[in-house]
Amino acid sequence: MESQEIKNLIKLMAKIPGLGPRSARRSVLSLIKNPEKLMLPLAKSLIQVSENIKLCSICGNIDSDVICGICKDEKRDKNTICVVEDITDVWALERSNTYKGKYHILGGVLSAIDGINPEDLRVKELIDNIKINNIKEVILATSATLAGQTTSFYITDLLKDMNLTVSRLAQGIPIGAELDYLDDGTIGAALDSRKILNKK
Amino acid sequence: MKWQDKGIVVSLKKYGENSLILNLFTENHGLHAGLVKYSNSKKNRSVFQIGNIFNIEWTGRLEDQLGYYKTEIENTISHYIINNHLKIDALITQTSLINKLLADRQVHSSLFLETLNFIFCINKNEKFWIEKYIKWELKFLSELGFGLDLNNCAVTGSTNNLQFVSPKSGRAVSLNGAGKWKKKLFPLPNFFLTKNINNHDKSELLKGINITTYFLNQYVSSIGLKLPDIRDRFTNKLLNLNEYSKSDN
Repeated sequence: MESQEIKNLIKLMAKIPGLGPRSARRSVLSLIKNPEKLMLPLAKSLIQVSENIKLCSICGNIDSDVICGICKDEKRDKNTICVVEDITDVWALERSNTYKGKYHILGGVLSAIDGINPEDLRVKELIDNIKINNIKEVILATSATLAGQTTSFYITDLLKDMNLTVSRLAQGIPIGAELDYLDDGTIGAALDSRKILNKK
Repeated sequence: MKWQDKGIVVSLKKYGENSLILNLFTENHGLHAGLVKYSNSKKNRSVFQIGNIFNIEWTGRLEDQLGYYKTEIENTISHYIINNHLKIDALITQTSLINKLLADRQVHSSLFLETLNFIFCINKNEKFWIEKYIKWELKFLSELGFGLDLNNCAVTGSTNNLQFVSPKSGRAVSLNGAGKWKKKLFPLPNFFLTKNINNHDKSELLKGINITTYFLNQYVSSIGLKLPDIRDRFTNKLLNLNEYSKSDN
């Protein structure tokens, strides 16, 4: 039988996404077996993160400062904002290493069923950010779901009287996919947003 | 227990990492939720969207349990309307009204068929889909027990020249019967009385929206609720629609 401390630790670890009770037990055992290499550095790191992590006051990203590294970075394009739903979307776009502008994290999408209204998202902050920083282009990178699209249409409506370009991510065939295996809706979306390569 | 049915997705909620609780508006079992396992797989992820139609098999040990759904997609609607903001708003308004106001597990087969028809109508880019949506709200009201009686005049009993709806009784009123109360009555749009709609008319549309908004509000306030915000956004967009015929595409 485990001691109460270990039981508590397993219980807490099991709440982490990706871990269930069994995998939490294995992780805890691994930590106990490697106290110097794993357990103490992990504990130290957890304390550091919990004490230092802050929400960026401009974009809503998480960092150790009130203004995150991306917002502070002078090399990035200051005139373009990419609007995303969540912090994980920023990480995904940063992984792609293709976008060099700034971000704005909404903190979710509009949802009639879950009762998430514009006031619950960081929409007002986005408008303020656009006005203050003289933004020229807003890229809407919400997910290709009905809720994601509703949110992007809502933001487009809000921005229509401002003097800026509003674009959204393309929808269609993922790289490496074969047409035969795609659903007809995705093929339709890909046809709609096709790119002209050579024009007479 | 086990049964099979056809259902429209009206809401979904993630459950754990790989599952979700799917709330379907089914033909023979009404609004019914169930757990779908492995919904987050690459194959399944994109099909669980509001408005999509599934063939389902529900299993549960007892009738009143949540139970499990085995699903097979029949029609994906979300892909076809994803770039049309009005159609998305209409679909989300419709599904959130169903989700919010219908009682769980009470059969509304005729409303289900009307809903299905509307979904196919927006899917096929049919004309007059907004009028059809408003007529769907009329059907919805009647399923809630607040149906309008548009067969004859509440005052004279006549079936001719019906031009108004009484906000008090929800019954049609003819021009002769309206008399001095004319200003207090809702003007009745022609498409409420005909099966086949054949011309676009924004003023008719607004008359229809006024009526359904009033009676829906009456119903929701009587049970201490309010209409979903998305419906306000949708109807406001309709009011500001400049070229109605453009909304067909």
